[in-house]
Amino acid sequence: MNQLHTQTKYAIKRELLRNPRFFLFNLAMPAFFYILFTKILVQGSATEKQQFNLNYMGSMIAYSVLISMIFSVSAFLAEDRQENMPTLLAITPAKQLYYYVGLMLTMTVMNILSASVILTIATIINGVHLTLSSLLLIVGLSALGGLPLMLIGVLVAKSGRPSSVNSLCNLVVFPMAIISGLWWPIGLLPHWMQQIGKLMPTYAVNSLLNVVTKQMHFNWSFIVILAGWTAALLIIIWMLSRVKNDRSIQA
Amino acid sequence: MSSIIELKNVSKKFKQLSAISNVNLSVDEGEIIGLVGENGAGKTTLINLILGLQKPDTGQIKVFGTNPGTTVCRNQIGAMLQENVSIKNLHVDESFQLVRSFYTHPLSLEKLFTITGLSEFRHHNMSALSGGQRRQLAFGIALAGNPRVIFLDEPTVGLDSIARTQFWQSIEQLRHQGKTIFVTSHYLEEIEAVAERLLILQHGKIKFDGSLDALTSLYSGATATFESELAVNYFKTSPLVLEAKKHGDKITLKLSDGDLWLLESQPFLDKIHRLSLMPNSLNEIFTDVTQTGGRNHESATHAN
Repeated sequence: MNQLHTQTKYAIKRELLRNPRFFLFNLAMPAFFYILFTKILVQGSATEKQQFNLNYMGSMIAYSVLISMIFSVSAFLAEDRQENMPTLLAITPAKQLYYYVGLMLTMTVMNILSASVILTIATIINGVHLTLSSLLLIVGLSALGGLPLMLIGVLVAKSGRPSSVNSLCNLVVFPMAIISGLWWPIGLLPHWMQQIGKLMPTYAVNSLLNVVTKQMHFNWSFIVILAGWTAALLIIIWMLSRVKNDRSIQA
Repeated sequence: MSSIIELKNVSKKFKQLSAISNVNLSVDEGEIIGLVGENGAGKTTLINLILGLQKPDTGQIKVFGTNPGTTVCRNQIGAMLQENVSIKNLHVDESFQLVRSFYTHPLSLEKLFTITGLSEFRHHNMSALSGGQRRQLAFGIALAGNPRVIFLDEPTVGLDSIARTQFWQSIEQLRHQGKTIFVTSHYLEEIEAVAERLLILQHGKIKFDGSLDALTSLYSGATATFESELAVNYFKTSPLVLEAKKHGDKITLKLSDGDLWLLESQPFLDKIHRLSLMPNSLNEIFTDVTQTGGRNHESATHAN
């Protein structure tokens, strides 16, 4: 446990406290988008605006979880790999599981912070009213929904160097955000695209947030989608790890 | 003494290239082993195999009686590999603390700072360190777990002369503590100063395994420099003379055996002035072993 505590403590320092990218991309950017779309670009009646403030709050929380998990996790892992961290873990008695669990806990804190920033802005600036239990549920769901997205980040990190990982992140994150209706309502997309979008983990996260914020009907399919993605990604990562296990570094 | 590392008929190939070929090796606790060889000789592969970073294609490796890479092994081994480890956004002291947390009985933080000399950089970000300081940090990381066996792969690359001297002093202290140390270096004079046992690798095979004394007695070559009224061609007639050159008044002979040549030269020793007879340096012996396979010496044999 001491090792897990130390790994998590330093992962939080590295990824949250000493990482300007976190403040810029994970906190500031979704907050900026939320303010931009709800205060400047929004049109309609007061009721419609209020509804949009609530809808878009969920979307931006899901979006911040998406970029936190995929961009941050993949960058963290790819940079660590470039700096030979996996070798350090392999030659010392470090438990690799703790490294990943420490990262997962760090990312959970990151999600909670990201969600809290959007919630705070929605409450203070846009007058969105939510009960304390709803607020806590939103924070909890954003943390839970981040799990499959984090695994996508792990998978992306395995693809190459930090520079190529960043490009790949862009190829994954932005289409996923669009297709799952985080930027624009999913109903505006062609029917076939909607069908794909509704299978995305980001759509499931956003829908679960809507269940809380708009008292929409709970559907187990959202949980099944998240669980399915998590299981499939875990299997893929495990298989890739086995293939790469005997890293052949030529002398 | 008990063997703590055993390799039996170990081979490792990368595609068609044989990196390690049928290597047998037994290492006792407390030995300081210099592992030398040209680039691509298989030094790093051998270390990686013992560390469990790679698996042999054939043969068996036992470290502390178990397979390499087990937690039991890793708890007792420290390694400073060629490529430095850098942990982004962590300070030097935090990096040591993190690595210390991996081990059951780590060295104290202060001890690590004393050994590495990085005390004044303890709150510096790792990325702010120079290449030499990163090497010292890597050395500290290798020692963080207070290991019984330490692998040092090209440890002094990038270190300035003062840091290099301090580094070898630290190795001396580790020797007194009974640590087993594997060290590879391109600076053979450093290996010569510290290693009791030398392994020369060539094309994945051990060309020599033994003490430095054994090596120098096997490869007893020397260089003779003198002035003489005799012509340089006169000296070339001896089978002990591998090469003869004249620069001005000075004649320089490369000899396969300096002592024998001195005996052979008794009849005309009065015609040789200002004689200097220097045994070959480890560098010259190494070149001889790896490039000519020791063919310059009739007595050349090797242990493995």
